[in-house]
Amino acid sequence: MTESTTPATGTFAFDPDDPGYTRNPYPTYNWLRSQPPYLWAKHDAWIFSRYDDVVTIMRDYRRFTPNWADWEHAARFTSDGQVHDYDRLMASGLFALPHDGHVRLRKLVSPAFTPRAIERMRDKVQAIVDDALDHIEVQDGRFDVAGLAEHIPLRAISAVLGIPRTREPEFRRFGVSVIDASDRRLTPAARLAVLEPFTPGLELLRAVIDERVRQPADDLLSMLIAAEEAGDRLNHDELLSLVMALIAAGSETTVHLICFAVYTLLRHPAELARLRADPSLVRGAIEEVLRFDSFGKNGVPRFARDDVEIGGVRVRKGQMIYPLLPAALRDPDAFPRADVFDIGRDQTANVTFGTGPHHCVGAALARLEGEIAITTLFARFPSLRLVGDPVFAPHSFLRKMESLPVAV
Amino acid sequence: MRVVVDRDLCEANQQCMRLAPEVFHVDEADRLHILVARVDPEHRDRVRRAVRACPKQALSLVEEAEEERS
Repeated sequence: MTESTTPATGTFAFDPDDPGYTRNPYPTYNWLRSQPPYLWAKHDAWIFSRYDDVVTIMRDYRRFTPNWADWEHAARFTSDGQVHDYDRLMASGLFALPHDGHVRLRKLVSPAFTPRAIERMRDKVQAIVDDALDHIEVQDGRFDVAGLAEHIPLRAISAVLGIPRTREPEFRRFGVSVIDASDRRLTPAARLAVLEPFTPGLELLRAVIDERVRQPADDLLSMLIAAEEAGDRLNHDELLSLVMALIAAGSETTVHLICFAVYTLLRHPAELARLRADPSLVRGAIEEVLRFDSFGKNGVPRFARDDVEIGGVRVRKGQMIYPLLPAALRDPDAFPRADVFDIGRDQTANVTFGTGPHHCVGAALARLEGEIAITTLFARFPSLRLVGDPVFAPHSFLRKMESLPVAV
Repeated sequence: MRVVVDRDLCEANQQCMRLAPEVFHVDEADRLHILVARVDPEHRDRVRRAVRACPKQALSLVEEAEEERS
């Protein structure tokens, strides 16, 4: 069973803030892909929805950058000329650094995140998932998957970094604030509200780093601190920015992968049966969840570094661009039977983690968490079923399930 | 046809090895080895696919004719 993908007749509009879009964006994506690139008047942004255009934009770092400072309207949303710590650190971050700096920073962290390195985390991630499952609140044979998913990713990225478990709620809120504040379309007041947990979270991170300087351990944080101390490999703002990005992207993303994986599999009982019969299909199942019903609403915006022609339209220097990754992943030009959820399909073209220099550095960890969470959950609860629709929290660029009720 | 890897970009994702193991090998230390100096004609399609599939776009192909001209 799949969601309706047929655009209703009549005038279509692109409005990601519409709750209907969050629940089911696929009619909108199909409509967008059927026409030339769409100018979203509200933000003067170009929306690209076809696979080829989206892939081109993500790969071409010379013509397109994810750095919000390069947005033609970036100055509009600074508050009284004061630079928040967040903005200062983001300017030293992976999305903002020029290519050479970006390469330099990626080289420091990517060895800890290769598929081979992450596979060594398997037992640790299994223990995290088992512990989370041991602590779910089952009432009248029911529990909320969102509550279960909430705890797993932060613990996994903390294990990679070497961050202690003791201050989880503060780091969790910190991670959410880092992700939410990345959207510079917020009003200054809304932005300050979103950034409220950021300052205490940053203080906590500084304290953890100070502790690790005094007592180095065999973890990624210690390695990054040593690299900073060596003098020429990364500076202190780059260190903080990198760790903050890993905490944020490591926690406030995979939570939604887990929720969508459970939701999508439970809505497609034939595919779930296929997975139960052959657990080796779990890798393909996670990829297909991320292709078929991705939790990203719009994709990560880019900005044209110069006037450029793409997809038959002219984009101005500094103009905002949304390469709509979730729409591209349902493009029938790239995926046969694109609207069918098929855990056995060829995933070679699936660019759900991006493609090019900014390909998600944590992809292998996210995949491992997804695989272990799904395998363990469905093994522990052989009769798991949905008992209600997911409830989506309002959010400008994520489809966040705040509740997914299931029965065991 | 030969294969070139940009080691600034390669992150040992192993997609190339999965798609064309005759040409690509990622070792235990996560280092990519290109196993052939010239790609066999019968492997060309798989190698093109592997190059396109690299998540970091770290691979490129150099055609013989280009090289002879330079």
